[in-house]
Amino acid sequence: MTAETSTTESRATWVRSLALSAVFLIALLGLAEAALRTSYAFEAMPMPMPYYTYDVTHRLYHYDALTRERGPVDVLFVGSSAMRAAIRPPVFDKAVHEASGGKVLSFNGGFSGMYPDSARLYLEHVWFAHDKPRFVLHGIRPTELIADMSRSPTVLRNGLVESLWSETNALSMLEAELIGQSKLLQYRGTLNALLTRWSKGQPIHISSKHRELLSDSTGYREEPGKLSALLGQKRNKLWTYSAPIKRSDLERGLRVLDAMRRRCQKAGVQYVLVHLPEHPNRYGHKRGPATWQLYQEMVKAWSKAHAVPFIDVTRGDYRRFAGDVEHYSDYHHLSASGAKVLSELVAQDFAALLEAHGDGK
Amino acid sequence: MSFVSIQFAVLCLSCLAIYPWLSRRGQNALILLTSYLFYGSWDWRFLSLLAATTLFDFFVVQRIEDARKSGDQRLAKRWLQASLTSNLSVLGFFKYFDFFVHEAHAVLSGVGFETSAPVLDIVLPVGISFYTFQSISYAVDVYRGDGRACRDLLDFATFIAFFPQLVAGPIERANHMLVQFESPRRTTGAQVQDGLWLILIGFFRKVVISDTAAYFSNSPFAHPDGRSAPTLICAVLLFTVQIYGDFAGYSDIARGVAKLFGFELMRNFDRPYFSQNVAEFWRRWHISLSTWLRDYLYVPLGGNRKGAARTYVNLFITMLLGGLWHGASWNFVIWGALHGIYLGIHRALRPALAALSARGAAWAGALRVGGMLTTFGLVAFTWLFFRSASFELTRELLVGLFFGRWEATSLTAVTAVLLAMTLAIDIPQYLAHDDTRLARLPRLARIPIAACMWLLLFSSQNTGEPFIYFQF
Repeated sequence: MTAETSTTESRATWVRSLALSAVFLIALLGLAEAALRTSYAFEAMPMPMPYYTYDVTHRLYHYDALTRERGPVDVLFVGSSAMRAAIRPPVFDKAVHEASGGKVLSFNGGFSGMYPDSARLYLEHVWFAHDKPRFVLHGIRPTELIADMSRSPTVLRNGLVESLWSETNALSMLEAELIGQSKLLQYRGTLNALLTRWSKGQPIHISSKHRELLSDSTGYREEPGKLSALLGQKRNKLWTYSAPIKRSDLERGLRVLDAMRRRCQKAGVQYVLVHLPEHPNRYGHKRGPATWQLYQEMVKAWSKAHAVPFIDVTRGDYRRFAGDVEHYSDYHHLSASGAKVLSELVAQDFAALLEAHGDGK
Repeated sequence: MSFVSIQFAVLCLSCLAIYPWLSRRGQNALILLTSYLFYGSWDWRFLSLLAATTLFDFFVVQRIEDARKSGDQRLAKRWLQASLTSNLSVLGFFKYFDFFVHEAHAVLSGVGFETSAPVLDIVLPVGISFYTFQSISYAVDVYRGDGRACRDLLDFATFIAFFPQLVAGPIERANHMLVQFESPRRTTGAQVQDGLWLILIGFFRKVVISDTAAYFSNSPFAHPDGRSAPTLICAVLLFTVQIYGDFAGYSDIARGVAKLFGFELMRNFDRPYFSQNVAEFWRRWHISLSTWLRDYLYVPLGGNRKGAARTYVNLFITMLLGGLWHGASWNFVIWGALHGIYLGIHRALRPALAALSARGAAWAGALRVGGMLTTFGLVAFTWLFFRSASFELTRELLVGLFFGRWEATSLTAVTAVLLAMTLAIDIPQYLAHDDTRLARLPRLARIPIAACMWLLLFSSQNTGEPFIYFQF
């Protein structure tokens, strides 16, 4: 055998071995990815946690299932946990149908801590990357425009995917996109989560009971607890609007809403603001009414200036949606009965909007 | 650029795509370029240090050989001293300057002298301890006549900077490695197969075992106060698993990558936790460092040739300096000292143990098992000092470990799983005396094993934990 033949053979062996290994790996990963996309895997495996909370993965699974079964979602509710607890999509859809004759399919995409700038990032990177809705209904309260969290996606930095959204590095952005799309990559870190749960004697996958706690198949989740029980406690936590309010604080919050509006406009989606009622005790401090007035005045002016519909079932009076403590699970979140009432009320205003769009009877 | 990164994979694959079609010198030039890119990705400023060390030793060692050949041993010795001074000065400055200044300041302040400590906050160049030791061994070997000086700068620079082993070893000898750069090479099918398996095993050790162990042990080591004794015992055992997975994983990846390029790196680990005594542990753990310390420190100190007392002293000094090699910290000094004491005790007990072992198979078997468990326990205890971030934390860890409350901990199950995973890799290798035992299994067994390993790799959290030995 000459040296040249031997070198050629060596190259061929080298290329063949590497190619076979690559084919094996790609086939294996492809099979795993396909298996993880089935509902069987979703039920049997521990919940992956590429996002800052399990709830996101869970909600996306249901959103995709809903669009597969019933076609594209028309109305997507976005916002914080206050929104998640405030709207029950089936109640809303039925009420819209009764009020306008129009058929809509809605989904509740509220997440804990999703103050406006976080909600914008989610809209851009997650919801609009799936089937785009026709309407985005964004739930707001004064606190979400005033708080620092409204202008900085603080909670999102905990997530593997979300932390990469703010990167300007092309590789990091690509990595975020890949993790967002690939189920297999989303399972990265599951071993640690699994070992943690197992070592503490918890079930290694989240049981159906736990899943119900996350949200139902339309994204709604009833908050645990009752305000009536909370009021009975000696030391209950009540955060009132006690800080001095300035126009500039709200203006900064509105600038974030403007970014949201522009993003929706660019995607051809109608952006709508929805006021989320809070228990009147939130306005119990002497500065509370002034905060409410300024919030109402500025949001209304902004929505008029930008032609963004503003649905406010309180009609400018924070005491209107308030009387029954059973409508609240705490001062910020509605109970199931409160959510039912609010969903119907919002649906009536939304039906009018639909008619204006030419989607009514 | 860590081994566990997309960038490293891209760098390696790009290099491999061209490599087989180049001549030997072309291959060496490509490896050198890749190695400098790899090293520069940490901090490009230290490339000049690596290049300077390489150039200096390249020329000085030729002078050593020339002087030897001309019979001028004194001149050869002077050139050797120049090489040693240069390498040890670089190492001493970057690694120990701040430590010694700080300690001197503390001592002087303690006896009432007011001094100002010029601490420079020096950034330690990655892998400096490894490539300077490699360079030193080359110079000493040529001086002793155990090796010859390399006359080709490209070959020599590639030998010093070879990227799979540049930042964390193995500390290669010129007789074994330099000759591979000087001769034509052919990557065989077996090398590629073994290489790919070693890379997979290395990633598994690092990402699945070591990083997971770190995930669970970091917190008890960072905040030991108030933890129960079993929690701290588990944390120490987890670190025992972590450091082995980390360093042996790195070495496996390094050997695997080197094989893809047609090189054979020395084996750095030989299932050390199966050792029956501490002397055997050091023949199986970080083999390239322990043999280096033996050949270039213990033997020149006199080894065991100058009487029993001097042998104990030599062992202790060697291990003490071995500890200090890891870093400028009292924790490493204590770690090394403990190993020195262990080695001394083992040496003293050796005749008695041999006598017991000779009583019969049952005695020998019991001593083997007992020896393995005792050695594992003793070594695990020393890792506490190695891992602890400060002297204060070490004290808290020891108090918690020996006097902490005794209650169940959730870490027990995790510790057991990770120990089992480590054994699952090591036992087949130990029994077969073969690091790539898995590569030789029938295809029907090999494929599911590889599939499980890959899937576990994907399900593990890439915490970005850097390789522990990169900091040395």
